[in-house]
Amino acid sequence: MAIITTIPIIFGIVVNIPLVISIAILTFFVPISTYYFGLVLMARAKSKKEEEERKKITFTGY
Amino acid sequence: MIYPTVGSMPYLLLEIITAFIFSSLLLGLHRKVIARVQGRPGPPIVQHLLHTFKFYIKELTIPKTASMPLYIAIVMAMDGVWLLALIIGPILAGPYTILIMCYAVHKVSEHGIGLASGSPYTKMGSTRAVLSATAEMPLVVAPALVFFKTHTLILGGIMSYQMVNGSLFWQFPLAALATFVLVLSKTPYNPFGIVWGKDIISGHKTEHFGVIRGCIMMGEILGFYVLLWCFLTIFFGGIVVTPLDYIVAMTGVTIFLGFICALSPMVAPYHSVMIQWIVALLALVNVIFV
Repeated sequence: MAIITTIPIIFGIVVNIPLVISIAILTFFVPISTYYFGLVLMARAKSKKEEEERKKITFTGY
Repeated sequence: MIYPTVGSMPYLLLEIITAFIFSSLLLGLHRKVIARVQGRPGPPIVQHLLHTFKFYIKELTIPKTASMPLYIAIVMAMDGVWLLALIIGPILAGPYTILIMCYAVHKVSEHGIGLASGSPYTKMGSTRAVLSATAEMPLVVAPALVFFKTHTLILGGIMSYQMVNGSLFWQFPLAALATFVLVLSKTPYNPFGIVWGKDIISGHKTEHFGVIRGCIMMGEILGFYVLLWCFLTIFFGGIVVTPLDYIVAMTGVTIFLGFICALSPMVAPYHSVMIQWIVALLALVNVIFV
């Protein structure tokens, strides 16, 4: 979803489109793509933390 | 080197990113000023920006009582509204009326954010958002006075009028004061900030965590920039002209706002509305100068 919601913005950067369409794309897709990218970042940070927890050598006692 | 043309998507994106970074630094400066006035070292100026990004890697927890998908959609709507206001106002200097409508929708979205989570604290915050909306009279008074004077509500036209006839501040000082109080009421830790008062935890934002909180902060950062820009453009358009002028003026106003926020306690909800109403009615005295 993060990639899909970014496609219209990239399309607008690459192709010269009218101002009204640019405004519509930006106001609709920037918040949504920010949200989905946030979810991706959150998932990455979570999996990294879990990986660190898993690799951590814990003292199991005698 | 190829520069993006005005109005193209890369140009708009560059402006949005610049406004976002600059405004978040202003809000960081605002916190720093409050801390220094109160005798604390305070966070670094870049803290507000880092704080916003930090929420993007924090876990998103959605309350069981939340009404989905409104819980997320209303935050997206708020961000979209402030993005639209940023493009129409500071970037394109378009119609002032659209900014007023954006502001009205922002109030509705604030109300919706509070209702969507289902928490009693956020519901209280959303109720206060509606109550505080009744205090937004300067938003109507100031443009009305400006229109009768300049015969236009296009921001570019208002700026051109002031370039020839001098700043509107000298003609409508009370309307400028009322608008300044409006800007003050949208600044964090302000005396009229009943919507996110600490007596109701964080008001309408209490049950919003992780990415969602980051998105709310993004909207608030853009909103602060738009309001500051509007205030300076409408009343000081003859003095504040170049981007450097705006940087200096916005920084100055933010420091002043910091002093006010640091030295004044938060007033009760009804008092907040009443004080803002009195200031707005005072602004009507400026009608004699039209």
